[in-house]
Amino acid sequence: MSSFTIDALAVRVFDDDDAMGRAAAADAAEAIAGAVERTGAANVMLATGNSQFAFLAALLQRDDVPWAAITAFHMDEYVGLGPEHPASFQRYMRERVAAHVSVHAFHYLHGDAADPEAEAARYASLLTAHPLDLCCLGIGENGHLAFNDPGVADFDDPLDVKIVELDDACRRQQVGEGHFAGVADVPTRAITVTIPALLRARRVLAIVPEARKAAPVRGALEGPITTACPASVLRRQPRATLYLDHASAGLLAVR
Amino acid sequence: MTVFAAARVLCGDIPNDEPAWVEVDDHRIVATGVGPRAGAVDLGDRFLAPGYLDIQVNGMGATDFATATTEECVALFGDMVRGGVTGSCPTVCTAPLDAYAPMLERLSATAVEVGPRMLGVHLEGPFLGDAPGAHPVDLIRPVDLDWLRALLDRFPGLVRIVTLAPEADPGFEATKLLVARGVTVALGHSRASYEDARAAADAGATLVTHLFNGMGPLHHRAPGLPGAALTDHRLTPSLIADCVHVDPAMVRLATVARPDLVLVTDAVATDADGIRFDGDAAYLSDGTLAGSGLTMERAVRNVVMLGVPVAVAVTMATTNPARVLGLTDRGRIVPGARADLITVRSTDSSAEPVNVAA
Repeated sequence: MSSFTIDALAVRVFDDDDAMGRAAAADAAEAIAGAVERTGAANVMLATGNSQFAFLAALLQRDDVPWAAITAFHMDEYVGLGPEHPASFQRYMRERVAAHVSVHAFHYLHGDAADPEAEAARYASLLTAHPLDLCCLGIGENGHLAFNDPGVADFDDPLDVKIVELDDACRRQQVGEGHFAGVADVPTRAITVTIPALLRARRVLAIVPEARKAAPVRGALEGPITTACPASVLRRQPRATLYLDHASAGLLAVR
Repeated sequence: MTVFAAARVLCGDIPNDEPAWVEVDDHRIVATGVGPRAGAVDLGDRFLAPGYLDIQVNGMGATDFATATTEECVALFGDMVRGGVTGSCPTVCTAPLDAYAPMLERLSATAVEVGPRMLGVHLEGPFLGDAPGAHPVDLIRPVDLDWLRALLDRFPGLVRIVTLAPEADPGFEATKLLVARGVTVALGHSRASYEDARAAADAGATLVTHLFNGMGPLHHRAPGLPGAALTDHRLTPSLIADCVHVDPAMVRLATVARPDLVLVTDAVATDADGIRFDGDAAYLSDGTLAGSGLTMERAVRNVVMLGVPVAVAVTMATTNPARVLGLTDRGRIVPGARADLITVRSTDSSAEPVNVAA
């Protein structure tokens, strides 16, 4: 394992996905325990995607996570997908998290809401009621955080939750991960928590394994801080840690 | 510029579990932050919150918004500020159709005087259904679209919420008209089925007025309007949390199912004709509940005592009502929002104004 910092961001590189997942889960458990000790509760945002499997599995295996004190959120959902659609992020969270532990509450985004703007506003008010103690996120193949793709990302977004158009690279990634049969099946719009609302969390864990993430990781860490690579904003976050495995760190000059 | 430092800042863009500060100018919040801040006005162990917003208040004390003079209405807005309420929707109950224009004339003049603290008028009726509560049954009627259109034309932008019953609005024509005019449609005083309520949401209704009161019961095989209000996220329920209108157990159910709900007082004038008070609840002579003597600070206190964290309870009186009215300039403590700030005591949820935007 190696550790270094780039600007304000702590980076840790592990030999493999499992070791990375265990280390991130340990740090997540510590952040949750700290919040519960301070306030009796913890507000936690989790990410979806295949990149989060090892982390979520490791977190669920721990015996020191006070799940009953956790109010959980997720960060994005496709506009138009109902909660039973196989690609729905609500379903991912139900099946991969909520089915295995008893959280205090899991607040889901409703992708099938008739008025997505109203649903975004509803979710934003829940986030106002529950300031995040912990935000666990990934980085997309196009450098996105949640569904803040390069074209729509705003580091000073005035909204906490908004409706975005998904870019082509993002939609291709969803096909590549096996969630849709073809690009035409991927919805064109999504509801996403915005970048300032994600990074407002007291602790931010960016969990980014796999070789397909090597290029966006390099862009985020070695390129300019720009919305052209939304994840580059992590370098301004002293409360954030980036967890990589050998594969996702493969293109970095400094390792 | 003034900076206020408090034990907690609620509904902000910063953590709410440590001391924090808010910087304001005359009108707006300029900045927020955690930790100490030199030169701040120290609010001690109190919590800072956005001003409360009450989207259903018929009157208070000697003043009934439906009959009061403009001067009395303006004075009541001042009284509400002293209780921490910095924005409200004066609410008028079912009346003869020709009584509405004079009422709205007075409330229009009130709006000119009190400015943005007036969030617009809430018309509760007259297009109600089979659960009239204290509304005069002989004045409840089906939708009259021509009358409604003329009223909206005569008082542009004044009416902010209309509570109506789906059974009084065939084809949801009034609902669609109101939504097209930017008026929030609330379902209430109705025995609408679950399916009817969902159809009303399809047509654009977004609120359910005083959940559990003035509607059929929540039945496990016939969930009705309350079932739709609790489970259909297009609809936001409002709730009279005096623990008389709604049993404490059902208040708990509502707050758990819908932490995004809106607390309302449904307060009425204490010396209105034929009204008798018992604690915070008002009754007609036949025992029918007729609004409350609730204040927003007591509503917040009640839900806190039932186990809702104070930070969540306060959003039910601030962020959530702002959201349902589409107000982006209040209900949160974030840079750019109106500088309407109150303090809430952690011990008893008592509220006091600290700064009211000019």
